[in-house]
Amino acid sequence: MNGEQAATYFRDTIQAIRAEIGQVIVGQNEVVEGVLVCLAANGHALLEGMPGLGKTLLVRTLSQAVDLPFSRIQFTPDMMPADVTGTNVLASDEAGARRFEFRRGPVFTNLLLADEINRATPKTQSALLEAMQERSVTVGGHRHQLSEPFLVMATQNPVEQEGTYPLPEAQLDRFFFKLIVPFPTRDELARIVTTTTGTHSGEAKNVSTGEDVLKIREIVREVPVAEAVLQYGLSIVVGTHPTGEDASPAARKYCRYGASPRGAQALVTAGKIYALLDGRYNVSKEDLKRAAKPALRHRIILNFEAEADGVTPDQVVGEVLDHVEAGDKDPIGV
Amino acid sequence: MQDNKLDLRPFRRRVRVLRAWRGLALGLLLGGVGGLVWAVLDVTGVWFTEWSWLGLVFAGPAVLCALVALLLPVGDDAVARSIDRRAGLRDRLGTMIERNEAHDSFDEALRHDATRHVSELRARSVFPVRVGRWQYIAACAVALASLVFLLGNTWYVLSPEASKAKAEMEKIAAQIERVAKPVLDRKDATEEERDFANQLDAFAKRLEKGRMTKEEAMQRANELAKQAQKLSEKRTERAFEKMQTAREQLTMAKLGEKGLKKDQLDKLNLDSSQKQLLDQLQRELGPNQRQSDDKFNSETMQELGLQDMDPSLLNLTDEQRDMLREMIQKKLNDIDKKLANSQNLTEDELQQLLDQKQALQEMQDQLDISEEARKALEEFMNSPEYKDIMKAVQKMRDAAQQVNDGKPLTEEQIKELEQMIEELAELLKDSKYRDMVIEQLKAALEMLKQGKALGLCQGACLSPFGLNLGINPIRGFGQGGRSKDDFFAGYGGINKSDQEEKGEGQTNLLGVRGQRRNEGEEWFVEVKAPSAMGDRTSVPYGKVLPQYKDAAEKSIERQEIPKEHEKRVREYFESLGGGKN
Repeated sequence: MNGEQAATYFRDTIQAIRAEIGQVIVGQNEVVEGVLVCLAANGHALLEGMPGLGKTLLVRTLSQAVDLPFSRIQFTPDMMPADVTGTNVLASDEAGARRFEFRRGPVFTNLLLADEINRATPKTQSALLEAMQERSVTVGGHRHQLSEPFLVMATQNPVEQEGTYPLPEAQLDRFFFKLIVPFPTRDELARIVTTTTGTHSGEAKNVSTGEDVLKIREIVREVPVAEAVLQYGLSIVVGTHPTGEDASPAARKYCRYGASPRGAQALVTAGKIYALLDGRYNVSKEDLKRAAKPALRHRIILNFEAEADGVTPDQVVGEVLDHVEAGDKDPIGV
Repeated sequence: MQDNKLDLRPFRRRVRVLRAWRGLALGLLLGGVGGLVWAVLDVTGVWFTEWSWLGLVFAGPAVLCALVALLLPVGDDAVARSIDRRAGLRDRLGTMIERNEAHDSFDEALRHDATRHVSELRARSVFPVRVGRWQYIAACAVALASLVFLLGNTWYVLSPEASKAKAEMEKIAAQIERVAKPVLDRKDATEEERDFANQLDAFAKRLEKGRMTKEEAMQRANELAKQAQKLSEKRTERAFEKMQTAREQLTMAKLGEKGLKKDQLDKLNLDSSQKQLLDQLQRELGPNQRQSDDKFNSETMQELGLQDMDPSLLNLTDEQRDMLREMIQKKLNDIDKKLANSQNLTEDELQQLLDQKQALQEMQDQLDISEEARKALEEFMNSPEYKDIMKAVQKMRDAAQQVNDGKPLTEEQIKELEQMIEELAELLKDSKYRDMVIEQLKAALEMLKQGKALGLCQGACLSPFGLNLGINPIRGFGQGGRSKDDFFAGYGGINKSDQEEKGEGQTNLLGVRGQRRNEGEEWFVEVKAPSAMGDRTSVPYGKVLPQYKDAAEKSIERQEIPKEHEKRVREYFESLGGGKN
């Protein structure tokens, strides 16, 4: 498969999945696109939004479209890590011999919806760490490999803070994108109501497979990035660090910690995907700018001043982008 | 197979054009700033300029910067990334240029994609020539400089009186410029003269531009006139020196014809020891022999052009010279005898005797030469040639004196002197001396002519203002002072009506028309101007006022003041000094 064919294959696959999701999910284009980017990038998505905005439906529809198994874990404060990963249970075989047998938890799936992840205790939340990063689970000294592709989509409610355990920074960093699920527009809401209260509810068809997903992940890695573009992306990441030489004024003022190297990886990988989706064979600065907010908003830690001024991570990232853009001059300059 | 060759040449060319456009603007800005500075200097009168120069200041840096910008190298990478930005190619070209040699799966597709996009672009639309901020700033700088210059040189915004004054000033400036230019152009002009001519030129320009008040102009004219006079005097001094040299050379030439060389004459100049020896010898001869006929006194030597020569030996009579010779011979014999018995002498005594002998022998030689020189000089002084030379030299001296008095030579005089020099040269047989004499006299004459030019400078400076030192011979410019034919005149502040006008202090200005000493009508008007000659007085006003008042009273008593103005004169002095004597 040459470059053009690979790009076409990628675009067709994503567009097909998207079209199927569009049959069920009304609106939420950016969120859907973000989830698909995570799928193509071999990353995980953290969705933040009010209940009832179709987060679970999105994952379920995605699993239908790509024909992959789907699990949903509703996190609660009393949930134990074993409830996520699974546990060894004493079982007897037909001969009556007893032995420990590993009973797989809901994490053993391809698409996992970790619903209201911030309601679980940090201990349980961290049970997902290994699964998300290493794509494996270790129980009772045995390592159990998860099947590929593996995508975790965690949701959290931004409003209810009581009885919640904010995700630790290390865990947040493992999410490729943090997507904000907005409230639908009036038109979208009308269509949602019409669709869901009528006789014909949309159903997604299977248009792709897990193998296709693995294939498009390989294609993404081959997209070239020019040095200038890469430097531009790094300037964005470095610009979020308050103590660095290239820190932006906003980062100096409002950031406690800047984005991690995973942020830079996510930025460039997402840039590659956006380039392919846009029908290009190279990453542009615009691709990186487009990926900056979802890739970095959960990776920068704001200080008290930001909290006092009501500054959001998106605002800081926006200012960092402006700062980097201002420093990016036309080399001809006439 | 697609042609994936990326051709950025049209874009590179366009970038050069844009750079040249920017360079032009920056150069113009530079020129504009320079022009503005010059325009301000022009307005303030520090350094004058014209439109043509100002235009050159604007255009020079602009063209230079544009050329430099046009020739600067343009890199493909920079052009590619610039096109990406300007044409919204989303870093296609930049990435392609960077991965030109790579052959990964997307590289071929990328090349094709980038080439296709570039082929759809036009260099002119990607890099349009726009009037940007630099062009605006440059245009503003040029406009500002032009405005400053224009306003500083615009007279139509002024009153009709000012415009008239400006026109008059321009005329005067042209007159001064005409006079200054030959001085500047002259090759043999001294540094001082060039400096003066430059000052004169600058003054003319200031006048032309109308950047001086009339008072300032008159004061400056006065200063320049004095300077011109000094330079004129210096020129004349140098002419005198040349004439002196010429006269000396004439004398030497004539003496040479009679067999007397210059080195021989030089021997007649006695040093102090020789003078002492001559004096001693004359004393030994007795008091009567010390008298000399003193025919060659310093005046005669001066006339002969031998003022540097000691006439002591020349003034000896033949009798004195013979007696001296005998005495010297006698002394030499005595010394020889002593030297014959030198074994009884100390080394110092011996040396002393030898020195004495040498001095006496030299004196003997000098006496011989002086005899020849005296005869030659007497013969020369009695010859008609000498009289001709003296006459010619006297004419030259008179001419020099005339120039020194501020009266330049007329064309006739110059012709006459030139002819005289030629005739004088004919008198000399030795071509070497002839050439030297002609050269010196011609140089002297040239200096006298230049003295005329400086005199013109002086006249040009002062005459237009009605100020004159009385040394300007050019008619029509008017003489200083009040006489029947001439009158004080100047610019500004003249009240020609019979109505009094309030002047500065307690002075009332009024043009007075009347009779003086019953010799017909005349106009005289008061001029508000600084003194035309000399520095400002240091005598206190109150100290001289009583004298002037007394003089005025006496004039009234002698009926030198028209009756109808007697009262006015009295009132005037009373207004100045409160009537106190």
